[in-house]
Amino acid sequence: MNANSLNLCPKCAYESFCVLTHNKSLVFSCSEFDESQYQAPKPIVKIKESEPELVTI
Amino acid sequence: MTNEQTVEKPITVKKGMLENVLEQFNTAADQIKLNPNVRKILSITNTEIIINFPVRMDNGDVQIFTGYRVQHNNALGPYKGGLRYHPTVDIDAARALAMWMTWKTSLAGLPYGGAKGGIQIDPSKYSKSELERITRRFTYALGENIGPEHDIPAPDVNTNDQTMAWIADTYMSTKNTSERSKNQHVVTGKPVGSGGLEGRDRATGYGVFLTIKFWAEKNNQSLKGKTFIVQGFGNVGYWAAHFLENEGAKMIGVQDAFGSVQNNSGITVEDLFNYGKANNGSIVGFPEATPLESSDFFALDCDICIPAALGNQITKHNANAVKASLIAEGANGPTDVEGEKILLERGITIIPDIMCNSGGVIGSYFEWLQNRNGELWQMDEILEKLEKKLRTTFKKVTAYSEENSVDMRTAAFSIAIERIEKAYILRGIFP
Repeated sequence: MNANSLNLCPKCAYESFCVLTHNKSLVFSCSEFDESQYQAPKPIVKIKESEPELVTI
Repeated sequence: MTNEQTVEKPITVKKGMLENVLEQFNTAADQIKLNPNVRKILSITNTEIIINFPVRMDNGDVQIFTGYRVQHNNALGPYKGGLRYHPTVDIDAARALAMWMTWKTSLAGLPYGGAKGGIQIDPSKYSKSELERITRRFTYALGENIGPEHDIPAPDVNTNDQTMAWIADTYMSTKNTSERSKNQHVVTGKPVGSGGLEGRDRATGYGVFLTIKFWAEKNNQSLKGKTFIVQGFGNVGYWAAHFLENEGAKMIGVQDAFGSVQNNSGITVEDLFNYGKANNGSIVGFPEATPLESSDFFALDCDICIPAALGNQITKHNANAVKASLIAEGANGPTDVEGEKILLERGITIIPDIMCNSGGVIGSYFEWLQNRNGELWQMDEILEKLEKKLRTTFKKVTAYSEENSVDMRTAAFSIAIERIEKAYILRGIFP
């Protein structure tokens, strides 16, 4: 495995100090992965409840 | 079908993991002179599902999520593979991992194909009740694309036994009242009290230990007094170490995300595990061992090395420093191509990941069988069955490796692909 498009490291709580690898762009599977402390803003699509949810023509 | 036809090798669409998996496939396919028609079939996935589905959040808003399920091949049985919740989940990731599952289940001799999927989501941003609704809505949206005899998801990154219990409950709820119970095996990795398997937590680690034990037996060696190091002290690393210690082997080094420790006189597995639990999961500072530079970890003088954390750990940069005579790949892809070449040239044996860490998927198969047959198995019975299953695989791989003068990884891939080829040759292609 040389490279892969999916990478767990950026969302891992240990990313900044993890000693398992220097190559933090290639990790698709990791027993130490922990996302619990990670916080980031990013709703994908949001629809306010006050707005109409379904539009019929 | 004829074997004389020539076929172009599959073109890889996106540079990345998919390319690597296809490269491994092509190497093994060339080795076994795979039927060109079967090569065509296995180079591509059977079904790819992308679902956008709405879920109401705790604050009343509606959010749209994207879920994936890729079913690579089902020549040997229902599709089988994990569901992960992670922002990097996309169709390419699912394709590569689904294909890898096909080889893994085939090598293990299970009546399964390969699949993978997930939801593109950062689960830490959502409450438990939101995650429950997301899981249930995705299950509902998948509908008959999953099923106990069709496609059986399992836990993966950021999903666990609770997630599986929600999926099973939702799927069963869509069935007629009298048919609900017979659909419990739509997922594996369920909680023990809800159709789950006793000992599922240790199945992968026990499998790693077993492959090491088989290797020792084959070489007329005893594990008693053997020294080993473990990278990653999670579920896999801990249990592998636990069983090795029970056999008289001595753990002399451990590395986790926080750091490395060593003690040539031996580190007691249970003591280190308890220390880690009390120390926010970190092994650093364990009083009965000394700290070690992480870069020196793989150079520790030992007999057995168990990389059980993540990929790309043994590379051309450190392969020459490895002292162990056996590498047991508890993680997925811990040895890269260049690293492996160096290790093999140095006469170091590698038990490949596809076999070494297959205890987990074999455990899943036992859970599925148990639910399907309405049985409840005891722990000792499960571990015994796991040993029998893995021993068969180990024997096949070592025999193939010796007969064809190839390494164990090539042997494992070749056996896996040959088994699928045989199924296609026997049953032909409809219509």
